[in-house]
Amino acid sequence: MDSPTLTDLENKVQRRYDQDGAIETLMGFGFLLAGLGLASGTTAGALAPVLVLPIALAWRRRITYPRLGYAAVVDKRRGEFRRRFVPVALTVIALMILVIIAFEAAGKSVPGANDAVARYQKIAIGLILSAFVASLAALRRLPHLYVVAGLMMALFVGAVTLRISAGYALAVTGTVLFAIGMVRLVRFLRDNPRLEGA
Amino acid sequence: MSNRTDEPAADIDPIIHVPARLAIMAVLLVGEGADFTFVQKQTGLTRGNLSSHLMKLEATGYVVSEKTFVRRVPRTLLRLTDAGRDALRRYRLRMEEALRALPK
Repeated sequence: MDSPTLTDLENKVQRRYDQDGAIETLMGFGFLLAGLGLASGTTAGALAPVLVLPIALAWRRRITYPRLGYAAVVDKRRGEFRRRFVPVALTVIALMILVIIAFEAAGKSVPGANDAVARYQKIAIGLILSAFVASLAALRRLPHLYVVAGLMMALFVGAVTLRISAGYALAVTGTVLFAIGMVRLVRFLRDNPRLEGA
Repeated sequence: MSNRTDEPAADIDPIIHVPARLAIMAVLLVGEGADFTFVQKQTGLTRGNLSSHLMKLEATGYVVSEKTFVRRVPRTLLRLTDAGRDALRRYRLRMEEALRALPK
């Protein structure tokens, strides 16, 4: 059997840290808020990053490090992840804006096609968001997020079919992600008790 | 370090050969350092046991502890020195030689 490379071992350490459920819980919370905001036609979704970011910053300090300890490789990996994730996130935002503008323009230019345009717009947004979740799954090597991405796309198609707000699809995806995150957090806390003196 | 002999097993570094110390060095091989809790968690050693092995590794110059700030939080990071990495690499080669020299 081949010996593992240092990168393999770094990945193993990173995966251990990712078992704390932070990514799923916080992304789920963000999607839930954004979805409810979209469904209710309010700007509640705009609060998501404001609420999620401080929790994300405190999570590792309060929950993960006292139980697993601190390894410098995690910060190194976080830097690498940020460098790859920021372009993905910016692309998603740019695509969402483009899709909204393009479909709004199409809706105005083709009289009587508003309904069809709105449907395709929802599917396009669902596709972009699902691709975002799938890319996160690839970047963080979290295979269960591929399933969530698939579910998200199915929910967006379902919302179009049932003629309900796409916000519900987003909110349900957020709830599922949040639940996954909570289960992972409970397992993490059970399997990694706080060490004496940590 | 001892002079090489014909018997590969005789040339194995006794500092690293202790399972607990080998585990500590293997953990510290990954990345650019880790704190005491991380090493303790990964090796499964008690605090006292880990401290005593770390003292031995520090005295040999294989491991160094550095007080540092990570995001304004003070941390004591344990790092493998270059000498420690070399020693671990040599240890691996000697062990492979020693195991190859064993009759089947």
